[in-house]
Amino acid sequence: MTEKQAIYCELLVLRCRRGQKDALEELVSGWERKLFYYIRRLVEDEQESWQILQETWVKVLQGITRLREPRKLPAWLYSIARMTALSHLRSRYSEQAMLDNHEDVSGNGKCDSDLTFDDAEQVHYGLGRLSLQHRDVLTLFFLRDLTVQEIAQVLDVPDGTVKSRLYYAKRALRAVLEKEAGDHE
Amino acid sequence: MNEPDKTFRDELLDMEKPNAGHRREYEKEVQRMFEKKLNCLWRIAFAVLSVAGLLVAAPFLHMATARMGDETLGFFVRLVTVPGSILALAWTALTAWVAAKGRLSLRVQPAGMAVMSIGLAFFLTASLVFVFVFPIMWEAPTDHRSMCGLQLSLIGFFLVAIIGLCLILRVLYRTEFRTREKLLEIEYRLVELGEKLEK
Repeated sequence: MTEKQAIYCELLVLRCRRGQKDALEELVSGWERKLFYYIRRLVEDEQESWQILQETWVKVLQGITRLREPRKLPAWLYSIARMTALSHLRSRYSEQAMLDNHEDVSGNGKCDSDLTFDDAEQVHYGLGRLSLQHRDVLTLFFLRDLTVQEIAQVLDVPDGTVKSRLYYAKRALRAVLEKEAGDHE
Repeated sequence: MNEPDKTFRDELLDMEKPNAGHRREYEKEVQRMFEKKLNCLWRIAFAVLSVAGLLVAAPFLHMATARMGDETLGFFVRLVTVPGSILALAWTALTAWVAAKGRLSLRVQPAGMAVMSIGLAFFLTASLVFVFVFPIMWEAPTDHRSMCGLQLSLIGFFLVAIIGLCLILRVLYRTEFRTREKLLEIEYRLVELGEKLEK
């Protein structure tokens, strides 16, 4: 996040705390597309996704006065959205199951700099064909709002685990896209 | 975040094509969240407060317009009952408006009501002093009723002052936020200016 974006986040949080309706509307309109996209990657049903997003806003408006670090607004918003989505999924999907069995928990993240994706359409298609764990971390990565450290905070795992998950998720995405390309040929 | 990343993200977000009906339902819910409509019970409560305001305004108006006998005291009574009448009528109007509309603007109206309440309490106490306490003290300064009246009046003013102080502290607290906001706005503009100069 740039310095300008950090100042903007803090300013927006302060204005929301003062109860300015236009600030609250700005917060919602500025983030709803990204949060909806993220929630939609976690939850299959669209109607449920909208409901989760609406519940997320209720929690955000209730909790914004207690946000200690206003400059960490993006990570906080994604955390709330994720927790709300997971609580909806809990009955159908154990959170433990999100931990992949080949996950590198030693904290030594593998390098993923050679795995790059430029086509948004392909990425969008590919995300829909990945496991929940891979979709979760990759969506946060592709939305470009958070650093690796902030993604780690949202997922509540160490930084190394995020790097590892990103590596395996990108490999899985590459495999899906290559298979799709192969099928078309 | 640089421009190529932003473009990629916007393209990715554009891939999502939500159902228009579901989106409309969501937008209605969000609007309801912002409007903070009052339920029936709250509207009745505000209507009762509005009637209470009228009941307070009536004696104030009567005292403000009636002949008080002693011209000196009469002047002081008018001095406190006229503003008291105005505040009571303003209170009546505001609470009736909230009850009728069913909506409370959390930013302005509660603060306005708090200020009016403090003002009414002050002028009510002052009216009691000029209408009852001072005349008794004038007639019988050593009478126990005049002493009691004076003490009760002082307690009343003290309580009003304490509540007024709490309101002032709250205003100062919120002013701190306002100051921080202004500083951040200046900082934001400076960073923006710096970016433009770099380009």
